[in-house]
Amino acid sequence: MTTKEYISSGVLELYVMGGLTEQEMRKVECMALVHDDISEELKRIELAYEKLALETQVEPSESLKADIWASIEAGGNNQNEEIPVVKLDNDSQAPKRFNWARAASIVAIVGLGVALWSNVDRNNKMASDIESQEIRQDDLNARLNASEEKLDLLSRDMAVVCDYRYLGIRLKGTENAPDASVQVFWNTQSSEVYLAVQEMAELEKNKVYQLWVLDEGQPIDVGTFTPTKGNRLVKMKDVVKGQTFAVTIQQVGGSESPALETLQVIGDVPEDT
Amino acid sequence: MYANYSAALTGVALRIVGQKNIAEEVVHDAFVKIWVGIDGFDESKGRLFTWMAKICKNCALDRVKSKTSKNSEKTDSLSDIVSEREPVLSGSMNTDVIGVKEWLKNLTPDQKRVFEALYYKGMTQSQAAEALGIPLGTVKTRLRLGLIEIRKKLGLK
Repeated sequence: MTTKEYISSGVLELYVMGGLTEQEMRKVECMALVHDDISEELKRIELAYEKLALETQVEPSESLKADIWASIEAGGNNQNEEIPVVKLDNDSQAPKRFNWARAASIVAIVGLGVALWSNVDRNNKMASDIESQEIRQDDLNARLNASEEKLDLLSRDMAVVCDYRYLGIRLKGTENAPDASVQVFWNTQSSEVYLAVQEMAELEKNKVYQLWVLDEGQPIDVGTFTPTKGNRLVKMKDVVKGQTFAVTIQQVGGSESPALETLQVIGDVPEDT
Repeated sequence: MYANYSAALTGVALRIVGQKNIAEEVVHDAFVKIWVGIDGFDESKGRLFTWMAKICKNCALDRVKSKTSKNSEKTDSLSDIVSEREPVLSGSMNTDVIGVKEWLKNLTPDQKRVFEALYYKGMTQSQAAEALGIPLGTVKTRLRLGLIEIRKKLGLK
């Protein structure tokens, strides 16, 4: 699946609107880390979602803000909550006759109250600690997955570049595109071909670049590509035989014969192969 | 943060729970969770609002779920939950009241249904697919096409 297909699948909208499972969300985050166009589209969708939520907002009651603060403060400092219990103790001093049994029971109740509060406090703190740990854990897992995916792709590219069986053929820019440059990696034993775009202009939406191999002057299609960011290798069709590689601009989907007037880069296979 | 987003989050919660007093309780719980978990927010992964809205949505869904399970002794299947929530959403709280209708005007009826399942009812893609009886891929593409229409209406790219 290309990044364009991935974007148009609608999975990014689901991500933003919270319609994915944790695992599916991690995958989207990985894809956004690896592909700039995905992360840019994700930002646009997020902005739209936020703007729509703001356009359809509903004012809460005025007291809500104070209620929220009270809960947040109660969560962080439960000492204040003991005050009403102490007040009970003050009330008990009001009777003229000092009642030891009553005093003892009040002390016991106060003690129990304090013990309960400190337990509730401890439990609340533990729960919130666990929750923030879980959020951190999810975040770390996502980063790890993204890094592993990136590493896998780079390792595959490195294996091609470092493999002596792959011939590196540089295709240089023609008059049509003097700055253009492409490197083809061709394994003449397995017939596999990879391509690295070093410098190629962006194309109109309905156009693609098409790689050709000329065998005895006869052009054979090796597949189409669009310039990708991030210096990645692109796997092309296998090539069994040929002396020259060249790239032209064609309609999306590619053509059976090259539009030679659009020739962008060309390069010969070294003769001693 | 409260000034900027409390009303937007109240809207998010209200669309799911259907009653304003319950929506405010949800926003209350959500803000406490946001406060506690703010260290877990990663700016590089997205906008603050998206993160907050997800927390708020989950609080709202928890509330709907606990309400539904209290109301019924039997084990709820998804369709039970959906059908029990339906009257609240389509009855007392219609799209007009929440002010979303205007934004959905340019959507086809099919796109609207998907958008409502996700945006109002807070369903996951598979819940929406099951509830609407359409494949997962269709849920996704209808949602995307619907949101593209809304983006146009919002004057966004």
